[in-house]
Amino acid sequence: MADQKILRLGEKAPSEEMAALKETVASCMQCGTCSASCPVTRAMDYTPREIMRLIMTDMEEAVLGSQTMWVCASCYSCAARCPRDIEITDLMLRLRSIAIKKGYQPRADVAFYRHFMSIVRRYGRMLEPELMIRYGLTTNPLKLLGMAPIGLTMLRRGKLAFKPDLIKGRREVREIFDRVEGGGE
Amino acid sequence: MKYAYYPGCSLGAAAREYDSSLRAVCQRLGIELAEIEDWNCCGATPATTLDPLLSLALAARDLATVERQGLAMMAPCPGCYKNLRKASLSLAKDEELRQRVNETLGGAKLQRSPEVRHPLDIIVNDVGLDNIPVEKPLQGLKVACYYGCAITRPRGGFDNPENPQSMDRLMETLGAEAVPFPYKTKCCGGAVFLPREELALELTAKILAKAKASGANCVAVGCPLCHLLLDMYQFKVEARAGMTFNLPILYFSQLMGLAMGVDEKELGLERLAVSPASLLREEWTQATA
Ligand code: SF4
Ligand code: SF4
Repeated sequence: MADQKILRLGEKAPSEEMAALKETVASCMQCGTCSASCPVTRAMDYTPREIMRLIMTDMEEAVLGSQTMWVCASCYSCAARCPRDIEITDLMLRLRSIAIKKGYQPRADVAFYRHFMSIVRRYGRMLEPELMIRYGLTTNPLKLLGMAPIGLTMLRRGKLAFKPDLIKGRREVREIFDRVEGGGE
Repeated sequence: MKYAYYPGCSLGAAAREYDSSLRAVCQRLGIELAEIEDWNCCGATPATTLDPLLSLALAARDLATVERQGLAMMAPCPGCYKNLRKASLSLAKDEELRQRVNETLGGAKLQRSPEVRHPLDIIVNDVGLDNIPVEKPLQGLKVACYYGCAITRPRGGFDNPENPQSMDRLMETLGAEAVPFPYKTKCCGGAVFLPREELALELTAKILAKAKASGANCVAVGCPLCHLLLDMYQFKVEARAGMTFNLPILYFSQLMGLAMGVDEKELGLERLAVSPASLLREEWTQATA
């Protein structure tokens, strides 16, 4: 019985959300195909294979506090190759939403996603210049200067829309946000 | 042939030339496009990041409109295509989920999920390569076909996720040479480029360098985000990587338009950051078929 304690890797029982994820990765055989296929492991603190292992062993804080899912570019290379058909990319996106809900979140990334969705909530569609400006102002105003040359090139080529493309069903869209708990701002 | 057209947010702004060239080409091919009435943004990855249910619900509002039109959907932006296709498939499969999502919709509800397709799929498989009227073959153009992530993934779509062929065959039909290009489906980092710009520039540099090394004199794409990074950011990538690429990046629909003799005004070539003018002048032999 004493041995059992040593074998138990996680400190706590997993939360409901993580327990559900654990089931989806139960068949992972740690082959590392996902990590080998991933173009951005360089910028991750844990590789996708390591994330699987951490989930399996209930290392919830390490998983949710990690950068990995925020670095993930949603390219589906891993998921296309996983021999166990685990939907790794969807899992990365799910980890983001769980991390937000539980208060772990890299500020800049989440600011970006929130600004994006608050624009969609208001207009029903995206307005790129507003997104760039809002995101720049809340994270690093100096970065806005760095974007200026590209902004100008896009402007000259008629690639920037400055007026929101307001849809008629804006209220419908806003209500979708309101009915889905936790969405939007 | 008629499809419900979902331009998505990019095709009205940064990817205007994709929109105008695709519409022109479709018209020439006898494909009728009925723009989806009052469509909303599909939410892309940000919606899924904040709440998976929100993402499904936003997609479902558009899908329900298409369902009333009784058509299959054409979604030229692979980000939208992937999102809407995934939503459509999972809502068709899971009755309980569909009900939950329908409860969040004020307007029309979703009953049966419509089909969501990328224009490359429609052109290659519904129209057929033999039925593309090529007037000015693209001789002299050596094209690296860059599919990016979401045209072929998640798996189960219309082309092979490891070594897709649809765009290569299309380019050959147009008279161009499709160079062997090992980075066809390697990610450009588009989905994280605003919060993680450095990373995206690094990935994009690899793709441009590989295209150049493969002997391409231009790159064909079917994605506004890939296009933004490869074309608009090319000078930034060059500065950062200390290399010069000078590679024109064209939408497959622009190349089709050139070969089919579509009025150049509709192709929006002047909107590209890396101008294809000298390439077309110097390399395109323009022998009329
Ligand atoms: S590819 Fe699949 S089975 Fe292999 S380590 Fe990654 S998640 Fe596990
Ligand atoms: S989807 Fe994310 S984790 Fe998977 S290979 Fe792409 S970047 Fe890496």
